Amino acid sequence: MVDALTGMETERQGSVIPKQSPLQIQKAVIFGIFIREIGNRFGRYTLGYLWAPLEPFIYVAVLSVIRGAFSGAPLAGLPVPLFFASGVLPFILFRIIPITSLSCVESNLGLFNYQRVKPADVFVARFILENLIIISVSLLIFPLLYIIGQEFEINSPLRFFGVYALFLMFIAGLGLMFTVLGPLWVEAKKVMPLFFRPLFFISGIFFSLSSIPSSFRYAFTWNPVLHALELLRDSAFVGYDLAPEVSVRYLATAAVLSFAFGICIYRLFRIKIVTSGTIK
Amino acid sequence: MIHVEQLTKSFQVKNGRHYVFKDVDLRFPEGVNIGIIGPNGGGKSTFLRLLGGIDYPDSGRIRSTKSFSWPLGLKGGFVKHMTGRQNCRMICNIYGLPRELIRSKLDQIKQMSGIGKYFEEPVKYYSSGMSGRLGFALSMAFEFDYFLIDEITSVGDSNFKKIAKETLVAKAKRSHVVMVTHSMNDLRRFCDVVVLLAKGDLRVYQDLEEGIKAYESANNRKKK
Repeated sequence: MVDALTGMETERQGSVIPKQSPLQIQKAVIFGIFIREIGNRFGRYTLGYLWAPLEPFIYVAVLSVIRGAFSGAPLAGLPVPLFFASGVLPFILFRIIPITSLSCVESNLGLFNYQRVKPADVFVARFILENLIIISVSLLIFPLLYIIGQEFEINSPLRFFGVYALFLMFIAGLGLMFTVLGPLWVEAKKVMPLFFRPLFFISGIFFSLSSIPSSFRYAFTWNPVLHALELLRDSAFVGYDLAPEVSVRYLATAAVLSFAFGICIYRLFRIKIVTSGTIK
Repeated sequence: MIHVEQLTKSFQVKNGRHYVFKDVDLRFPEGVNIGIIGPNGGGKSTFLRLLGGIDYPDSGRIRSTKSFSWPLGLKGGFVKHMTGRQNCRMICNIYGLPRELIRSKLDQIKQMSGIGKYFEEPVKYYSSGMSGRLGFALSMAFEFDYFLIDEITSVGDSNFKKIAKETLVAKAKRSHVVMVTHSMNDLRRFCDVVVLLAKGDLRVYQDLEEGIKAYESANNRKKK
């Protein structure tokens, strides 16, 4: 087997290192890094793993209390805490994956000492980890809300997973772009988070599109994250008041474009971001 | 066999571009141990990184059907906040060793590195000598055709040097080394050919003594 770029024939197995297909190698590498990332994400804090559910919990609690102080009425057909939870959780995923991707290369320079480890492996490991965190937190929060009386009825699991998959595709594309951007543009770590802050307020975490007067909706509908959050809520819960402007097709287009663009960018720069002397 | 074809490698520095290699062509025959000598900044470590496939040339390529270890040096390769054991387990996982094998390998690595209870401590508490030893012991748990050794045999106490050398000799039947060193004794002991790297110039000496002489005379000239 010949490495397309270096022309180096990469039959790198010895008597102890098992001969593996590229897919097996990638799986082994991702697994190795995944274990490491778990420690990286939680190991340094005293409360460790507790921090994962804590952030969304605090968001939901604080937002619900503030909102509850004004009025306890349901939002777009959903109980208030449920509405916030179903907005905040996917948004956290959308924010954390690209932001942490910026440091995929930088925080793993030591690991690229091993030929098998590539930036994409680090990205995939982090992507899986963040997803698992959000999924397990959701499995905690929603039953809890149900138990304390915020009742809901599940609408369409199949449609939910479809929308979730599109949303993930959108995030993965962004994440790959940010994996490349991080080492090429040092200031990105300062600048990019600034873009996510305003998105927090206009992506439909606090309001539903249906609560906006129709003539102003165009100011929000350009944002694929808003479409994703609305669609996730609608497919998850019966009785959600979905605005007609929300479109699966729009989300799907954004997802495909983002993913295709991300993959291409990564493919183009995958050597450059780990090559010494060309950057920094 | 290692073929270096039209290899060019440069670094962006503050005032322009610094060329480490320019259109270098080289050909090493089957099964030789290669020693690399030269002044600091001559591109020795870069050459090892290129061989190891963890850095990339501007143009040209290195061709070989052999497997190479990662460069064994004092720097890098470990995650600082993880213990020596966790790091080694991760690398074993990355190289796809089966779980039962990993357990026995870890004990073997701990013993060979000779860092004792520090094996269970985060790598950030290691001295550079200790992480170098651990890296060396870790790589020796694998079989590679070529071990890329970056001055590692010249660190550590005499006890470790002895173990390292014995291990390398024991491995010599199957594996070879590409070794960056400042120790002419190591060079004489382990290497068959010597590559002298200086100022973008790269020369191969089939005769060790000749290479050593060329290196030393270049050094002396500089001193005067």
